[in-house]
Amino acid sequence: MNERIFQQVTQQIQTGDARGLQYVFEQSSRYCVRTLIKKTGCELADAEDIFMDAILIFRENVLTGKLKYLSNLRTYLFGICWNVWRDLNRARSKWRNEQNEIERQVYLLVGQEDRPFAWEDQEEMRQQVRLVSHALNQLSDKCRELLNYVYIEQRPQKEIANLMKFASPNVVKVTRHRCYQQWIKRIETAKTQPHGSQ
Amino acid sequence: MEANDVILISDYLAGDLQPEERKSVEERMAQDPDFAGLFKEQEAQLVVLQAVKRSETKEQIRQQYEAFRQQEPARQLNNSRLWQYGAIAATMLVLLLAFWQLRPTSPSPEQLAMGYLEPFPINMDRGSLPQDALAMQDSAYQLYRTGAFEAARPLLIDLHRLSPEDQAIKMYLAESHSQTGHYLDAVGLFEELSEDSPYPDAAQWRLALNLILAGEKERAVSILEQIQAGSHYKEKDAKRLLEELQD
Repeated sequence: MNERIFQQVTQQIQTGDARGLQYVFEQSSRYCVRTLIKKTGCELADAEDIFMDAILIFRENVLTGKLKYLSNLRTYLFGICWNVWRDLNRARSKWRNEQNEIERQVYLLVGQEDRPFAWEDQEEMRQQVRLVSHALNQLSDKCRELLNYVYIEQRPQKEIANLMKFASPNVVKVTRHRCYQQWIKRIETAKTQPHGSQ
Repeated sequence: MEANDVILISDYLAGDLQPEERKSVEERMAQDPDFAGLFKEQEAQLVVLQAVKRSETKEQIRQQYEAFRQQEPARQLNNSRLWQYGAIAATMLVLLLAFWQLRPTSPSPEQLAMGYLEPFPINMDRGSLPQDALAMQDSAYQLYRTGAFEAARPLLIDLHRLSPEDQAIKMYLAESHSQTGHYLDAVGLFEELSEDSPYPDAAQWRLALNLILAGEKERAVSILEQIQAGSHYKEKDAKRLLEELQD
C-alpha cells in the first residue's frame, strides 16, 4: 500500500468519510473472508463476522494513531482476522459462548491486550455489562460522545474541543470529570437496586 | 468511594497525568488494596464501555459492508457482455489449470520464512526478578524449554511487565510471540533486541523472518541484505532466503 493511499484512507477514516472503509472492503474483504473459510473451516457468516471485528480493530488502530505505516493492507487485515478467530476460540473454551455482541467484544478486548479476565466469573461480567450499559443509556449524548473520544479513541483534548465545539481543552477536562462521575455514580446506584429493576 | 479518587483514576486512565503523578498513583495501588480494587473495577468498566461502543460501531460497519456487498454483484451483472467474457474466461481457465498441474509449485514468502524458524535456545539462569516471581519464571522457562510456547507466553508477558529491562525474558517472550503466530508483537520486541541486547544478531535474523510472516516483505528484504553483507552468523541462510524470495 503506497504512502499516499494510506494517508488518504487514514484521513477519510478519521473524518468519518465512508469512502475510507469502502476502499478497505474492496481491497481486502474477499481475500480475508475466503482465506478464513479455507484455513479455519468456518461458515461464511462467521467469517464475515470476524472480518467485521477485524475492520473495527483496524479502524481503532488508525484513530488512536497506533498504525502509522502499512505495507500490505490485505495481509495486515488477515493477521487481525486470524487473531480474532484465535482469541474467540480461546475465550469460548475458557468460558461459555458469548450471549450477545457486547460480550463478544469483551472477549476480544481481553484477548487483544492479553489482560487477565477482570471478573470472578462470567455471570459477574454479565452483571457488569448490564450495569454499565444501563448507566450509559442514562447519560446525555454529549457525555457518551465525550467519554468515547477520551477513553476509546484517545483523541487529544484540543482535537476534542474542536470536534465538540468546546471553548478550550480545559472545558473538555472539566466536562469529562462531570460526565465520568455521573457515569460511575449511576453504576453504583444501579448496583444497589434489586435485580431486574434497571 | 472517594470522589477525588474517582477523578484521579479517571485522569490516569485518560492519560491526563504528569509522569510523577502517574508514578504516585501506581505506588498507591501497590500499597492501598482498596484503591487498587477501585482502580481495577473502573478499568474493567472501561473495557465494558469500549465493548458497548464497539458493538454500536460494528453495527454501522456491518450496514456499510452489506451495502458494499449488494453493489458488488450488481456491478458485475450490469456488464452485458459478462456471459461472453465468462465463457472465454472459463475456457482459458481450463487450459491454465491443465498447465498449472504440470508446473512445479513455488512456496509463498511466509512458507519460506516458516522453514527457517527455530526456537531460540533457553538458558535457565535466573535474572534479577523479585523473589515472589521466581516460581512463575521457573514455570515459564520449563514450558518454553518443552516447546509449550502457547502456555509459556502469558507467563512471559507478566514477567516482562515485572522486569522490562531483563533482556533474556524479552527475548524468550519475543520468541514465544513468534512461535504462536503473534508476528507483529514479535517484530516490536525483536526490533528493540536487535538494537540493544546481548543477542543482536539472533534478534536481527528473527526480526527479518517475523517481518515476512507479518506480511512486511520489503522491510524484511532490506534487513536480510544487511545480514548477507556483514559477518553475521546467519549470512548464508540470509543469502539463500533472499534467493528463494526472488524465485
